[in-house]
Amino acid sequence: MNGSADDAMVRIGLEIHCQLTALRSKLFCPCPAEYRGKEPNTNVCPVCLGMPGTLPLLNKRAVEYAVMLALALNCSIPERITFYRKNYFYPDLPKNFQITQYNAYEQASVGVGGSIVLDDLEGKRVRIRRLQLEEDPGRLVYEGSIDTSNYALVDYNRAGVALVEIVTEPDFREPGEVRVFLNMLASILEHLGICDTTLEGAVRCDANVSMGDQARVEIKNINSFRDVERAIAFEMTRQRNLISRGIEIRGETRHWDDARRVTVQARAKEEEEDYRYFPEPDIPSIEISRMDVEAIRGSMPELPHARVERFVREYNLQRDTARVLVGEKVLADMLETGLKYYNNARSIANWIVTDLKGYMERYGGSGVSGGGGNGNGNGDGSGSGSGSNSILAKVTARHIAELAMLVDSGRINRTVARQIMQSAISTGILPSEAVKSMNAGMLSDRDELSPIVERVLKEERKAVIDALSNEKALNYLLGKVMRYSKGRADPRLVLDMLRERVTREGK
Amino acid sequence: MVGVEEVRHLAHLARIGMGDEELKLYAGQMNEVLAYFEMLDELRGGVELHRMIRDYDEMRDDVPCAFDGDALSNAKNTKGRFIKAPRMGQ
Repeated sequence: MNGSADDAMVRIGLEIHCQLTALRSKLFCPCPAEYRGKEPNTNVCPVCLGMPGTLPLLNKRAVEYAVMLALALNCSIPERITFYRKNYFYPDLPKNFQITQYNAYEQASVGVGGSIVLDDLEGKRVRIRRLQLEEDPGRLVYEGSIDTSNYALVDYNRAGVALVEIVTEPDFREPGEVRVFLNMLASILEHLGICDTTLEGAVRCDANVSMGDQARVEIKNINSFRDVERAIAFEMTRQRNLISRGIEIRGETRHWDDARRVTVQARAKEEEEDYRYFPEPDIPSIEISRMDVEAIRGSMPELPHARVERFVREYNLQRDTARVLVGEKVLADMLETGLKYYNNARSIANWIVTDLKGYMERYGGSGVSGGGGNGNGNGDGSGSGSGSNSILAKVTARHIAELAMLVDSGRINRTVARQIMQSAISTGILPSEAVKSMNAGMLSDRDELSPIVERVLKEERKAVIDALSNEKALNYLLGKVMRYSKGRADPRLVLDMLRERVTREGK
Repeated sequence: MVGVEEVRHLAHLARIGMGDEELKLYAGQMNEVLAYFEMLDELRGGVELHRMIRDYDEMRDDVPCAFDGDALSNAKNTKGRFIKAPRMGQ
């Protein structure tokens, strides 16, 4: 065991909680599912507070959505599903137990034994152990910091909101694989339309890491997809260090401290048996007939994998381009909407993948929030991606389609197109309007360009002489002309004109 | 047999502080309760676990309805609209 830290087989597994944000009511009571932005403790009722004498009633659509996700992850759907009580005492749980699912005594959760193939990892298969429905706990707020506050403030508005928990087998070997999987999962959730992954705390991820035959360490409180990678990488290094010094790894729960970027020991957690799972007596088991399953399957929208294939087939896109688009549903939708304005999929796709996505990444990055910081890791996530959202609020499919069309038809060049894109991002102005107001129609008239070319030739004597022997110096001169014409000059024409003039000077 | 240590562990899980006398008292009571359940051992095999079962269509429709009342009006420890709870440490 000692000294083999670098060779030890790394096993990484995930537990992902996804809120079913498309639901209108909570999982077991008719309280509105939308709790965000409400005054604390105003979105509650005796059922989700677990008051005596109340009876939870299961939300049919929640089961439907969970079955959809289970099918999308190639799980099998048992003919009967049952709920359990998971007992633990923590202020975020008003009942002192969480209604969840548990696979024991021949009772099963919504999905079992699935798998998903990741094209971006050369077809790597990640197994899904189970998928279960459960209720979200409340939210704890600390005044100041969690370490200095004398008490916790509890808001139960979120308590009882429907969550799907996905548990993977420990099939990941490195943090980058986890990232690919989570992106794929986010795309599936978005395509199914059951979870808006951009909402704060809508998707939260815990990870577990083990090395060789050492004990498993769970990491909770991870606040974003990017931090999942970081937390796992840190934990792998920490464990390798211990192993190389001959220290045994303890099975424990650690918290990700995103400020210091380290994992820290968390409170001693209950053991599995301490939760004293038992079947929830207030909720009958539900029979899901094969007809029900097939009806749900039939109602499912197109999934990412199928959509990529269709993009390649119907629109003749490169597979990589199609994958990037479908990886973020909003981009794939943008392409298909854009086709109504300009029927050239490859051109629109190119603008989205190279330019728009570049802007989105620069201004805030896309991604899904995560994290959990309380009793059982079902905590708050801090959202990300607002920057890219704000770009998409301004730049629509029509913007991209118009831009592609203006460039393809030769009316503007790419430099001007980028300027127009920039102003669309800040003001939302449509490219067709921008072209008019900027008077940005491309300068492709020799008579109009000539004075600018002459000015540059006069100012840049050294470059002109260089250009006689070095073709690259022409590009420098071209850059000057582009600058003086505010990017409107037709670069091909200017290059021709420069070449003619330089050649003439050389004679 | 349930011993004092087991009750101490359960008390810890339930976040209830108990003295030694109480631990002894509850260990005794739990053993009495468990002894009562031993009657079930007299059942012969072939008894199925009974579960209430409903069809898929019998579940509640996803129709929201806000509760018309203040379910937490009796809460004693509050701060603004929040409920005050102990800080959870190690």
